[in-house]
Amino acid sequence: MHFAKPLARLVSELERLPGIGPKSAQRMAFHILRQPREEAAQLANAILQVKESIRLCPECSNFTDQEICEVCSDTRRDRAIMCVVAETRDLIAMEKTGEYKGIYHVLQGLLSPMDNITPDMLKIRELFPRIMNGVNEVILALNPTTEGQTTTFYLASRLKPLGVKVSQIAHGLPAGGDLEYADQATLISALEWRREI
Amino acid sequence: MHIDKLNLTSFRCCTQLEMSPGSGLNIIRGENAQGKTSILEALWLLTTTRSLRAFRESEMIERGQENAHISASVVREKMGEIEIQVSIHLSDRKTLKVNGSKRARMVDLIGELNAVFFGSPDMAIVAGEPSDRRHFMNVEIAQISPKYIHTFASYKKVLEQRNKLLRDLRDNPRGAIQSGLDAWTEQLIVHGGLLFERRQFYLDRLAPIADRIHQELTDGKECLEIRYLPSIHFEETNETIDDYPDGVMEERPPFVIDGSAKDISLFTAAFREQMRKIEPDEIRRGTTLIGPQRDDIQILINGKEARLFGSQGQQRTAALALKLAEFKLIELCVGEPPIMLLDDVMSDLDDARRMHLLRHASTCGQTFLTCTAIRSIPTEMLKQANIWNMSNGEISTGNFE
Ligand SMILES: [Zn+2]
Repeated sequence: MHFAKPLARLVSELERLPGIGPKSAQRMAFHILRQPREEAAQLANAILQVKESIRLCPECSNFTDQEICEVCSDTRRDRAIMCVVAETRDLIAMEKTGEYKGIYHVLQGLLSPMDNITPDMLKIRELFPRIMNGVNEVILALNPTTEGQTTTFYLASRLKPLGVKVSQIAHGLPAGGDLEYADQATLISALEWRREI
Repeated sequence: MHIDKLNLTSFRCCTQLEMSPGSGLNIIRGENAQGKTSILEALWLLTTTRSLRAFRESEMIERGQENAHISASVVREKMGEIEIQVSIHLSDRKTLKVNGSKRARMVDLIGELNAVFFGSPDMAIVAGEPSDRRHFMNVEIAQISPKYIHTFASYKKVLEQRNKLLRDLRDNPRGAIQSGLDAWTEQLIVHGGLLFERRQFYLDRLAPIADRIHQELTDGKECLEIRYLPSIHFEETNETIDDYPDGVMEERPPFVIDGSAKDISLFTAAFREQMRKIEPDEIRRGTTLIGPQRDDIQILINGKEARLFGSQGQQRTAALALKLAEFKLIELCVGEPPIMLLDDVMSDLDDARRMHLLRHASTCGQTFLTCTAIRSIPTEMLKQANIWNMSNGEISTGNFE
């Protein structure tokens, strides 16, 4: 007994989504099948619309539905400080703090040969002309993973010769966290990143 | 340290097992495939988070069940009693609870319980492959240096990424700099430097202890030399580690666990220099050619390479000396003896070595020993030991008659 062809096709499309295994894909497909027609159409339209209306900001490579993204078009932003992040969701996390007033650059990923991601696949080429255009401090805010650390090193070694100040965000204990309950890797990292007071 | 209580639920063939082992020698007797080794496996999993023999972790769950649980109360001399529970799930990753509260990372288990495992496969440390000897180093150092585990995990990830990139560069030649190879190389050097340093540090300290034990085992007829063979060449320092007699050692523990930053920079500098030279070769071959993944240990008995020129008896004696030295080193580093897990090794040793091991086992902390028959164990030792019978996944107290 096999799934009818259209159903099998939906399952295999859903399976290609990140984090979705065969079981979840089947569950989702049956859910869609049972939905009223209008609800299924809403989902299909939302998918098409996101593809038609969202593009990369020509300046910072952030996802936007405008000509130029909200941050880049905000004239109150300090254009001498740039924060480099991997993904739009990281930019949103930084924005939520309300503490950062500079501009951003979104790499759209991190170096990872296993996923065939080399520097030319990321928005790195676009970074240099922007920095030459009045930026004097770059903050690298990439994940403390193998890929994040390697990308940080790659960028830092190429930015420093340009005479720009380069820093990376600290890794360590979460604020309000309890030392006793912190995991070892976090504690080790917090020790390494200690600073004099 | 010792295990006060051990509970297994749906673990291997043990549906429900509860035991309160004694603080000295615990002999677990039973026919093959009755679940003796499962007890050692459970204790090893609490020590390292890893199974001894499972290819897939789900193998450790009793057939027809969804979850298996191992829980133990570990009594530490200095820290008191700790409750550890590890659960293995059919469709999810393992989970860990310490004193009833859930821990996010399994790796945080390491260091709560220390153990030395000795089984038949360990007899191959001397004559086996370099990977066997690297495994010996990894398991030992990981227990006393949490940073080693984290660095080792990062190193493995970087190595995998870098090897993929080198393969791509070999198959599809283009500029190495544009490909970001330099960044992956630097990450490899930073993590690798620390692994080199830790291995040197601990082997330097293991060597004199192993030599002393080997001499005891051979009535002073043989000396044992352990030398670290890193896959990179580096300048030796003049510092030598003396074999402090026990009394002096006792005044010094615990060892300073962190090597000095200067030592690490020595290794990273040498590693960086040699990586630079070998890079064109690596691109041509499509793989990383040097690094801790190619290290080895040289083992010499009376100045001769034991792997090539030692008899089987000598090789087994050296393996035993290494394991007992590992025990001693862990004891010195953590400040109390680890538990000892002996899996059916009695038949692999001759009478003299067996007696030495048994004397060690019955005097140095808590030992779990599995065997099919107890007739090779002297009655005086049996009288003081806790004897357990294992049959069909169930354990019961036994006696020595
Ligand atoms: Zn923008």
